Amino acid sequence: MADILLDIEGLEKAFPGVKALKGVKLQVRRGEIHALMGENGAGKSTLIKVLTGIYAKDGGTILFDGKPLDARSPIEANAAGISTIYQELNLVLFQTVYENLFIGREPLTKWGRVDRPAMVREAQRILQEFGIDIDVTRPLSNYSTAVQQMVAIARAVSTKAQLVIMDEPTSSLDVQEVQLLFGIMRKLKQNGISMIFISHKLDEIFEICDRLTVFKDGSFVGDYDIDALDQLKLISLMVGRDSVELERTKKGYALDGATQVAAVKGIRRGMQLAGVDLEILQGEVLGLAGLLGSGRTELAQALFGSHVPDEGEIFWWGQPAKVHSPADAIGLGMGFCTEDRKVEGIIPHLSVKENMTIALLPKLNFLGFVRRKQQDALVKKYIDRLKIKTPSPEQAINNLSGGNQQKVLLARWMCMNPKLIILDEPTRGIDVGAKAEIEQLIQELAQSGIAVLMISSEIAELERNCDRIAVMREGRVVQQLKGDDISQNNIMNAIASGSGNRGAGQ
Amino acid sequence: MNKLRPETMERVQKYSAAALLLVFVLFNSLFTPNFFKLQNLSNILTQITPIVLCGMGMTLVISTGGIDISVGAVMAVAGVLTAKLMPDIGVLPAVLVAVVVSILIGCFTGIMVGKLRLQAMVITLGLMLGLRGVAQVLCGGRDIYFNKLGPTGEQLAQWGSYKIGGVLPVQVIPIVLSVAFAWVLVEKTVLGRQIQAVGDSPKSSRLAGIRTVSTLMFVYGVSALLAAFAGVFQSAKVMVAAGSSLGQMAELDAIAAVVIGGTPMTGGRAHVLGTVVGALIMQMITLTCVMNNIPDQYAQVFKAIIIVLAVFIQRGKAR
Amino acid sequence: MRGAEKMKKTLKTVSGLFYSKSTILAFLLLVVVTSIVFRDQNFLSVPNMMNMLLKAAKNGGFLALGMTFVILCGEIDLSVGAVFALSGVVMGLTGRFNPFFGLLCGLLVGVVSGLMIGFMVTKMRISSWIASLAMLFALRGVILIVADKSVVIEGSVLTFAGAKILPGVLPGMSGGISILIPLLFIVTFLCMYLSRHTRFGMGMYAVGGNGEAARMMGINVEKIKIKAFVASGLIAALSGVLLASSSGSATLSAGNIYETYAIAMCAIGGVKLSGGEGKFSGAFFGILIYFIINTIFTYLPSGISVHWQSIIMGALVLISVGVQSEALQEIRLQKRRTPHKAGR
Repeated sequence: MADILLDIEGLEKAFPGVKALKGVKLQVRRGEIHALMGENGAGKSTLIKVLTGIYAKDGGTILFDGKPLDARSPIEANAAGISTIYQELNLVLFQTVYENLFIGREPLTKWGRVDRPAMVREAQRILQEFGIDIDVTRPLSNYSTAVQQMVAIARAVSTKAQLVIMDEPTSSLDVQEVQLLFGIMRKLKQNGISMIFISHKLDEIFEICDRLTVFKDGSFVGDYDIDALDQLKLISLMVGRDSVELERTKKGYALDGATQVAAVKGIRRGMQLAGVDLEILQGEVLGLAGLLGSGRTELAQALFGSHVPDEGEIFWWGQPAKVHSPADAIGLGMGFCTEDRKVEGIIPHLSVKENMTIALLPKLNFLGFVRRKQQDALVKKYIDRLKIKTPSPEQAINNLSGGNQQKVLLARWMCMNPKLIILDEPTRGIDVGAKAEIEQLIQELAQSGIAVLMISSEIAELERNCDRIAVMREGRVVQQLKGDDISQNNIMNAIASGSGNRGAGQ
Repeated sequence: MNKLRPETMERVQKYSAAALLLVFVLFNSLFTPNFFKLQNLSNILTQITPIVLCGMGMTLVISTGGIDISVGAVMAVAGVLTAKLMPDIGVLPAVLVAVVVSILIGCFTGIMVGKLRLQAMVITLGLMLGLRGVAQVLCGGRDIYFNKLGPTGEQLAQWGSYKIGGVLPVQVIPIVLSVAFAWVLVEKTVLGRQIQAVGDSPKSSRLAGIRTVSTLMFVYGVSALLAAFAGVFQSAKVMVAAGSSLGQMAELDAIAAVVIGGTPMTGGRAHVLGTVVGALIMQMITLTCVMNNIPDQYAQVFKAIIIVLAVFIQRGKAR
Repeated sequence: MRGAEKMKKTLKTVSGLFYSKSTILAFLLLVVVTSIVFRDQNFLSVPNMMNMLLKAAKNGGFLALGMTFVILCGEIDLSVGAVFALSGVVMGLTGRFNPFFGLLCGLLVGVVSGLMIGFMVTKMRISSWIASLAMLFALRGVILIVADKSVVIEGSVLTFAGAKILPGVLPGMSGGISILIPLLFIVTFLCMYLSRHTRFGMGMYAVGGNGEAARMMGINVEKIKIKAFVASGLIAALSGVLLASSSGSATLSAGNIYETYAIAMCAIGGVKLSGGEGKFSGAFFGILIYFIINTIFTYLPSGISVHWQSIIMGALVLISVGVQSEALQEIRLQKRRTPHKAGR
């Protein structure tokens, strides 16, 4: 068969509380562009980090170019012939193009001086081979992200990389820049260099890749030739049916004529939101479906005021509203349980009690003093109701398990009696038991008249819980499903067919 | 796994400061003559005033993850401003003016740090430089001696030398008030929670609806306010408003007190009483040297070493 | 929203004044304006210029050069003023045994201080602000421990820096110029060479520009930082030794607050305090600008307090920092990107 450059078998990696890689396999052939696919938490970035030496593996084998590979750092991986181009480019933007190509290995003249003319010449040569003709003596920051990425790739190639890993390389590129990148990738392929291409943009995967591997929840699902798949099949592999088959129990759609709690119109933000119109009704559980990068979180951020969009309007109970900060949104009656609770949710060294009540405090005070008794009663109430496991309310929230932290954050918003709660991946990283509890909670909230906007990558979860689902793709709402139209198949179809561009699927 | 460790570590840290203080007290009670004499204790109280006042403000600032090295210069400006104005408008109005000016300076810092997201160190560094100059310009480069100022000079001097009941130095009032204020703020009020939240996780705090800019303005404003009072009380004690030397090194002592007291430099939980312990330790170092005829400069070196160690220990435990 | 846009725009134009090429422009402008306004004082005359340069060499000009190393790496060194003072004192004291030993010890002060700060920053992971601030106070204390009054410096070797060279060469300078002046230029050129033509220099820019990326690219970030702190300490020590040597005595309170001025000179000279950007040539012009302002103050009628200089310097620091702010950075970086396409 074709020569295998990278051969990973049975790779395992566990962190406290979660097994990120459960014995995964990955085989990349020489001169092949290989896609690595999977939703958040699937294990893609963990695999890359293990491969490039940022993490140490717990088990399994890695063979590179026929020899076992045990890189202890990215520098060692580099020396072995593996280069990585990250989304947050590892380049020094203030320095010139040619300097960036040679940082750490600048050529010296025979007097020991750094040989700048040689660097400039060589840089021009390398870039021209890729068909890029730019002034290499200008700072890298002068150029677009696309060019910066090319420079990163050029650096990788010039350090004799045999395998180039690209992590979301096209996320900030426009259509022409993507084609430019693809041209370079094809040239690399001709030179026998292999590439691992990590992206969630299905159209691109189908355009440029030869084969792909799918991970799901830390496990290897399968590897395939690109021609053997279509978009729908791929999506179902990535997000397909749960082993736990919980049925959808909602029948029909009972919310016609309900009051509109919030609405957005014409929301645009950079490359991520391309004009979104959406409304949310009182007592409704509205789900936002879509793959990574479809703009769901960005939409939530726009609604909640944490990232003001470039264009668009927000309406609250039918009236135009100015939402320029989270404080504004909270004042109106919104709550937002973010996706990344570690960085944007919990206040790590403060207690459970303080975390829970932090948003409510401006209302829970007497002349600026915290109403201790009420606070304690409230905290106790929610600890009981949500069954939060903590030795005491004074425990630092950092010490709680992920699931319990999430419950505290939910309680933070619930105790504010909001009119709208936005939940971004509310059950991620939570055990099955707690999951069911939270889903039950969501229904109770909706029944009490609160509107719930739920973002989830778990199709089954959306199917079970939502009254209506808006499917997003590439920054737009492409389809909406109501009541009995909601099914996993329909959702996946909607995601797949969204753009109607390339892809063998329908 | 290590679920309990961070907690016990924190406790050890908190008590290690108190333990160190105890060691100093014991050492001095054994080896230093006259340690428990009233005069001595009274001296400790008066000398510790600027450190405690600035330290309270500094605790708040540091718990938001920032720092304020302009407090010494603010002390000078406030002291000189008061001394300059009081012959004309009286002591209390002059103090009021000085305090208001200082609060404005603090709010300026807060806006710079909060809105423009500039480093607090650099802003307060520039302020330190500029305000020192302002203080000098205000006093015309010459120290203002109170005994040359007539009745108002005598009045303000009382702020430095009056003894309640003939025994307790008047400085106990600002000390107790500032510590009480800071402690109540941090432990009991909404704003106190918000300040610590901002320092612990600015992103989460913003998403929880905390208005970061106004919180920072408040914190730096308070720091400047307390520094102003420190300046007034200090100049009252020595009966001189010296634009050049008033408050010099005060920021070091304040930062040292806070750091030793356990408030992390990266922001988060504010340990008000810890800062008081830290201030006492700083004072003990000076005192031990003075009373045992060790020159002051050794104290300075020792203090520098303690600060580095304290920060290092915190670093080791933080993450 | 609109008000913020306008503010950003004005900040951007003001910021133009503070980057390398524009620093030279500002410098020239300042020279022209000063020589016109103060034409009575013969501002542009050679003796005047030499005088100003001598002041720069004696009063902290070198410190800004040393500071630049550290700032380029994204750190700070607040101890330079203290090193400046201590090195002269140590030279004076140890020079009594042997003059060359004295010189060596003086310079060693800077090296040791730099090593210690470097260690604290890289291995103990203490912020360079705290580490160098602590060193500042420790060294100031040490000065008073080893000496109680100004140290007299005498002897032909130790007072070498008092020498003058090129007598009669320059117009109006019949006695020659102090060797400190050419030394200032030499050190500047050396620094410029180091930063641009050695791997160490390239490394500094990488470390300061994007420390994580530098590490990934194989640069030993710790080593570079330690070297930078040693360079800063060494230059500060050299400067202190030169001052003590040329004036015949080492004062205990020398260099007080000089570190702040050094930072200001760097900031004005276009050396970004966040690291990774700026040139030694810019720092040099920053030094000149500072001392021109200093000279201007000597021309002003004696009624205006010289302390206004501190105020102006403080304001300049605030402005140049405000202008370097992150918010502005983002705008600069975005400005030259190809415009985004909104939607597909």
